[in-house]
Amino acid sequence: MTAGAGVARYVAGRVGRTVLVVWAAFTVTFLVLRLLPGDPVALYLKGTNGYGEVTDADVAAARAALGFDRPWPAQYVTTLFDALRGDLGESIRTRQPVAEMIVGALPPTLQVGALGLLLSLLGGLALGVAANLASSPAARQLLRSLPALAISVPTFWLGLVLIQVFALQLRLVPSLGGSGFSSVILPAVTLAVPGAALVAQVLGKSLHDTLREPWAETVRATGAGTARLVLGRGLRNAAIPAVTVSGLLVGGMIGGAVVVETVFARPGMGRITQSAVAAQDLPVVQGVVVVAATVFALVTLAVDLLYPVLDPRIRSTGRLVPG
Amino acid sequence: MSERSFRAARRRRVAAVALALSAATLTGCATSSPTEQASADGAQQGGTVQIALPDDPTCIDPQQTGQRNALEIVRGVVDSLTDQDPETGEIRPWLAESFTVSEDAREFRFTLRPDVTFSDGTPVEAEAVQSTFDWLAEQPASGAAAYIQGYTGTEIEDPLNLTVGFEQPNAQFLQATAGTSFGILSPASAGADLAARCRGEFIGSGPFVVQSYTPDQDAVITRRDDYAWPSSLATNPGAAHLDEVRFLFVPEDGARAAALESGQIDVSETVQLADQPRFDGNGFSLLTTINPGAAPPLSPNHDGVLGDTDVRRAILLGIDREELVRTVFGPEGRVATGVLSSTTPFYVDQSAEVRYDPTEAAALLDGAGWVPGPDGIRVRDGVPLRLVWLIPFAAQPENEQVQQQLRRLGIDVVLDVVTAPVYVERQDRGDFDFTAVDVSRADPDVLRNLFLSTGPNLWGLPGGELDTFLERQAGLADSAQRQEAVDGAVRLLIEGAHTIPLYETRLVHGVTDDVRDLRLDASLRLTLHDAWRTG
Repeated sequence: MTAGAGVARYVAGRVGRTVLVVWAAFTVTFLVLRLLPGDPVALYLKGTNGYGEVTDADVAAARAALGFDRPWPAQYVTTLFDALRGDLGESIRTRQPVAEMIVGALPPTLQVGALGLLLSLLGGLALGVAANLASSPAARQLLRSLPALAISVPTFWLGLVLIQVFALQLRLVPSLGGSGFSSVILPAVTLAVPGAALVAQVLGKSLHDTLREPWAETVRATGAGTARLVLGRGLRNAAIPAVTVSGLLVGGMIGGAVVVETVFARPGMGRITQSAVAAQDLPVVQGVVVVAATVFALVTLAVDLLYPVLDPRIRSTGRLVPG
Repeated sequence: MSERSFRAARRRRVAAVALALSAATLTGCATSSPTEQASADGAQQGGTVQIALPDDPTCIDPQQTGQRNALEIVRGVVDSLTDQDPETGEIRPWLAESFTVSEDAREFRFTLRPDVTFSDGTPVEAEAVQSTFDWLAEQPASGAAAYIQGYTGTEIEDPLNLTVGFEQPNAQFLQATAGTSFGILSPASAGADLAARCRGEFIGSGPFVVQSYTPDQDAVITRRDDYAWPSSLATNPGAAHLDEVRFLFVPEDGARAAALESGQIDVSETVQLADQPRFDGNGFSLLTTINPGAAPPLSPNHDGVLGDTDVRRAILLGIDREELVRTVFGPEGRVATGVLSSTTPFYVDQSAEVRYDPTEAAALLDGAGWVPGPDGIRVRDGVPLRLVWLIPFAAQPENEQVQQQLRRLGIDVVLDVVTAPVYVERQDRGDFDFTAVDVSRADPDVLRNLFLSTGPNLWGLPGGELDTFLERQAGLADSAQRQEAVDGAVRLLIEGAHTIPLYETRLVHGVTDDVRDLRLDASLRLTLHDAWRTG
């Protein structure tokens, strides 16, 4: 088999898997939302119109208008085909097209998410390398323990502490809002801390193992210092697990957006998700999940496609070879 | 604590209910400095006030939602026929310069003040009142529309005189006309698309107009320069002092408080108990009042164990309200002294009956056959006295405090926390022993909305004489007679322990000292028309 055919098969397999993941996310969400107890249409009508005298006929009429009165399989088929055409339905509460809501909410979330991702990678890289370079055992121990601590800190608490320190005490940045670059910093840092910890942990461990492989001894024997060994060769060899983790980070950013956007009162996907879940606004929850799953699946695909570039052994076999 | 009552299911029933719901309070500080000179009353002109609200209402059409954050935003955009004096509860002129109520409380005649225009330039005349009320009467009969049930139409005599008629006596309608949901909209608004109206596309005659509404972000209202017909209670006779008011949606309590403290906003609505001392002085003040309406109660389901009056009465007497309030709300907390809170017009002091008497409570339970079991929980015929309290969203400290107090009495209360849709469904189905539904409105007619057996009657109340009193108070235009009917209704409610009042809620907003003359109206909404900011 030629290397080219191997790559083609590898790519085709990964793309197929991506489509499957998005479809599965759509279907599972659809089913779970229909299985939830409670009637979101009744909640909407009674919740906003008072404690009262909304009749069953009012609720039935609203359900019919939204298409919720039809059998599940029929709803499923319509919703799926609409989604394929880019039509994610309308919000129960605002009657606004879900696709339009998501398109409006994506840019602010992407801003924070992108900066958060960057800070996660840089911070994690710095910490992971430092933990392997530090000469004193005490410093190494400390640097290795930091990620565990950072991962355990609840995001909302961290956000509130950052607001207290940087917005209230030091007055360096605004505490909330969606305007200007300065308002992105605190949310991005909050989002980045658990991610950076994850990268530092995985990269640190991977580097640690890599440096104990026989070839590293050979390099050391040529007189190369630890720093050169780590930065020159170790990082590249330790990169695969770190790249894998980066894919997971994107998932973490999507989930973290819910907390961070609520704490910092920023508009975005997280806010939409939070309020839609609270009100059981089915079409919005469905739309958000599908979009988030698509983003996550695409990132995973990109990571999968990067492996052969990083590791030539994958290029020829189409398989990830245990390192 | 008003935040607390705001959350949860009360959120849906309570908040929604309210015509006169507690309004969110906004106070704001301005981001820009006043530029023009001071007016006659010393108020400076210009500037922006930024107000943080705890939630995005998702729809800001005052006629489609009773959500308090929506009504807070829109109060400055629509004028009502009347206004209500927050001190006395009296109904005073606004768009209607005079009004009379027929003796049978079925006909309400209004004379409009002349030369009033909507923000699109069309005149505010009888036709607009007619189209506003016609539209409202067609909505599902709940929330604001519940106050216009039995509407037979609006008769127009001439452009400035009109009469609103009802099939049945409807004394509460006059107070309803003071509410934001009864604000008069232009006839064109009645024909507009529902979703567009939710996004702010409706036309009122208020001192501000909706500039923008961005879901999950903010809503902005800006001054109308030719405004000259404020309520008779306003201190500012002309256009608003502020150029602009911006409402930000900040769900996190701590973030709202931090933003106020750092000067990023001027008003933080519903400041939590722990944050209140920070804003009492130090360049800030607390804008606070007791919510009028039904005091937050335990609402017992009459189908099931709580169908026994003695058990309900035992619980009424078994709750130590002083301890509850001190523990949960601190020194500022107030116990309920009756079915209605003390700031409600026609309030009746029932503190002699709504009292703590653990001995009598225990005796009532013994008499009903519930005797202490081996683990302290009372038992009858081998069945433990276990009551399910259905709680939406999340349990609050007062839920746990009540649970502990009733445990002392030998009652096992289960706090059953569920999601909002499940709460609605189970409460409608009667699948619970307790819920806790309070309604804010500066009118005793809240009693009829909650307790009339022919209404939603979520708790299976018996009706009979109670219904008679509830219907009579709604039909009496004469104050003394109406008071008698209210007295009768609240007496029966407590005698039968049909509701178990617990405490009074307080609305607390934090306001920077840079914003002046910001008050709460009778429905607890901010008086933005009078407000101004210093440099």
